[in-house]
Amino acid sequence: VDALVRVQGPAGERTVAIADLYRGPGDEPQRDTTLEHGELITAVDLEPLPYATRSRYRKVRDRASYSFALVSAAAALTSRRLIEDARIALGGVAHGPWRARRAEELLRGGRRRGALPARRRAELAAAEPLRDNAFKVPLPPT
Amino acid sequence: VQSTIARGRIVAIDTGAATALPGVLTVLTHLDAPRLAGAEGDLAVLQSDAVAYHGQVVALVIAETPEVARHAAALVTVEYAARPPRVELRADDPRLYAPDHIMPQNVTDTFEGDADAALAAAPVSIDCTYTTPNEHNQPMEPHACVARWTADGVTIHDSNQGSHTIRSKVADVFGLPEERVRVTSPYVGGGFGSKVFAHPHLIAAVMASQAVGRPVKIALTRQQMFSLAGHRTPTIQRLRLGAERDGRLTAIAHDVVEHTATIEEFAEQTALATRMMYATPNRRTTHRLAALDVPVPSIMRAPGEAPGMYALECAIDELALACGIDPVELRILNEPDIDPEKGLPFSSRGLVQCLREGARRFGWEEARRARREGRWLCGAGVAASTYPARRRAASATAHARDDGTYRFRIDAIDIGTGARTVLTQIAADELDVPIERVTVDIGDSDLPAAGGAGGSMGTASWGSAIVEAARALRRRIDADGLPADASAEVGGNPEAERYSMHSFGAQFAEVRVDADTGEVGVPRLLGVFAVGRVINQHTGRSQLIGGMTMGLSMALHEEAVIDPQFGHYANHDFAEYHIAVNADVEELDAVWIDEEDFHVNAMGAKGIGEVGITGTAAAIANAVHCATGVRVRDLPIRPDRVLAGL
Repeated sequence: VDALVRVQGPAGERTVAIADLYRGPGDEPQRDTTLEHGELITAVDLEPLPYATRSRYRKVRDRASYSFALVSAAAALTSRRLIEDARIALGGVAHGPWRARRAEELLRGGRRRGALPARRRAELAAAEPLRDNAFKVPLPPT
Repeated sequence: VQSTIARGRIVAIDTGAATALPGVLTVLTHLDAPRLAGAEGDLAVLQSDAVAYHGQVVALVIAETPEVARHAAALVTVEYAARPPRVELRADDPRLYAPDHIMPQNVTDTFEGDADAALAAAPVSIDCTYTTPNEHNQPMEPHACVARWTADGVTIHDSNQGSHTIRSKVADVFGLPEERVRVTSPYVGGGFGSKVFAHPHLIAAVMASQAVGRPVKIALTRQQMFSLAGHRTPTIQRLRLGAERDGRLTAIAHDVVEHTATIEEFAEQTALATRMMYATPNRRTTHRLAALDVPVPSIMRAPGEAPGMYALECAIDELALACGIDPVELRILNEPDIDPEKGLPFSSRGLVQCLREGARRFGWEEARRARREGRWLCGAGVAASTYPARRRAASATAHARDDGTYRFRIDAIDIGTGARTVLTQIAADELDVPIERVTVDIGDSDLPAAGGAGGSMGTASWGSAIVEAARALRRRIDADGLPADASAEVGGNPEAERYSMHSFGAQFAEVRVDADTGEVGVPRLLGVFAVGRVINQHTGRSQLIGGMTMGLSMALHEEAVIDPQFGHYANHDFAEYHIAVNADVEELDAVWIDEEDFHVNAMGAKGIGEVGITGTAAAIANAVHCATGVRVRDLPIRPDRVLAGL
């Protein structure tokens, strides 16, 4: 939802777009975010978007509460007869939250009913799982 | 300071920075720690440069506060000569060996008839391998102790499952007469077996107190408990069953592979229950161990029966399916008339009644129809439970005051079971006085000797001593009036020569499985038990549903993952070592049939601490198969394992 993250650090406040908050493993796999040492998240600003009126969050997990997601999905749709806009983020499938931009693109302008499974497959077609997490590829909930 | 390698030797330790830190009293290593007179295995703390598992104690920092100690521990640097560890259990490991005996003192292998020939000739047979992972007791209260030396010896305030057991071990390790060691443990926040035996931290605390001449407290962190407080061995269990077409068993073979540590042997009695559960003319049970570079396995709630009954009861379910017989009926069909191993009659055996009563209460006929409800695949499963009904020697004293109040003294222990309440109740019942007039002192090695809380023997053993002490006291009062003193000592159970004595139960589970994700929920779990007389229905029910909850946790969640390269537990905390949470437990009930068994003890009561965990995982695994057609033979039943078969 294009959230903005406000960060307080020794040098003052700065604002980071949510998409820029998380980083790939690179040479420093111990760092999950682009926050510098000494920085603290003080607020997350959300625009009052219509998305929130039609959204879903689903978490698949090993036990019913208090566990990390095996896979999670947050999805929001704006639609009348056809889908005008869609936003989908997946958790537990990459180093950070995974914005399913390819699926979003394919959904736009399409019909609502039955649209998701095929788009999900499209989003995850290029996934490169390892032995012990291959089961996650078909898992993101519809 | 714990080792960061799983196998090898310490080449050098630098304690300079730690020792220099303000607030640090001393740092002990194998180079300067006091020599222990009689320490073996895991309790030979800081006695050599050898490292036998990841997380072994390699240095001990004693400081004014735990914060300083922890900081200083991080400043100790240890250089190792590491060797590649062997930590993975494999059924084809060429170094598997047969132990001299399995816990507690049972023969390693048994052979009746010719199981292999009978299996080859059987019209119906199954041959399946089941595995269970490393599981950890992890009671809510971490292990902790305070050791204090005085001119008289050492006093240890400890969290344990039996102060006499701990006292004897400390006396052995430090070469002290027992009367110079006192152990108190009045209140304990859970144990599940992990506090039965002394662990390295206790020896470390006594040693440290001796070294600095001050009281020393050691409280293990949750992470430390994974390597320093015992665990349940993983198991690989091959089950072969042969039967006539009508479901009558012709052969049972149960071959177990499990691990132990290189420095100490603990041989879990995994196939023990298979020796007495069902009738068959041909039977073999075997146990083989791999001595690996792992922390020392130990007792965890129902050692043997918990993993063993999981495999046996899943196999029985698979056989029932192969024969096309209701698994409840298949079990009843194979009821033995007498204990097949011992050749003795059962003092009481309520399994059939539990199965029938459970099936009726649960609505078994209806529940076991596999069906789809929306995205859920639903079904039900059943399994039997059992645990030996034993008792140990115990002694107690009783005192009646002029004012009509009574005091009993016994080194029993209440680890959260309600033992204190139940023993007070037993004493009041026997004296026929209101419970408010009776107090029972427990949890101190200065009290009359009694065994610890373990093997579901607490109430049976301590209660027997309390009953005898109360009877003796009554006789003294009748003869000489108040005040009066009496004592009693009861031995093991002589009836054990004449009867085979066990608790039984039947557990019924309903599950729903998400067809898309493989997530398993357990909307209903019912246990019906035959456990003799239940002395206190509140604490008794709590023990049974507690065991079942731990069984559910074993079925779906618990699994410590050992890193094959470095030999450490990769998920050594509560965020990643999953134990069932409230949300995992839905409708849960435990009931019991009317049974009084005076062969087991004067109360007619069998132990109930462990029978509840036996069979639960099988009932849930069988239900998952019923609901989905997927047979997961490796615990825990994780979503990915269910999905692989959907």
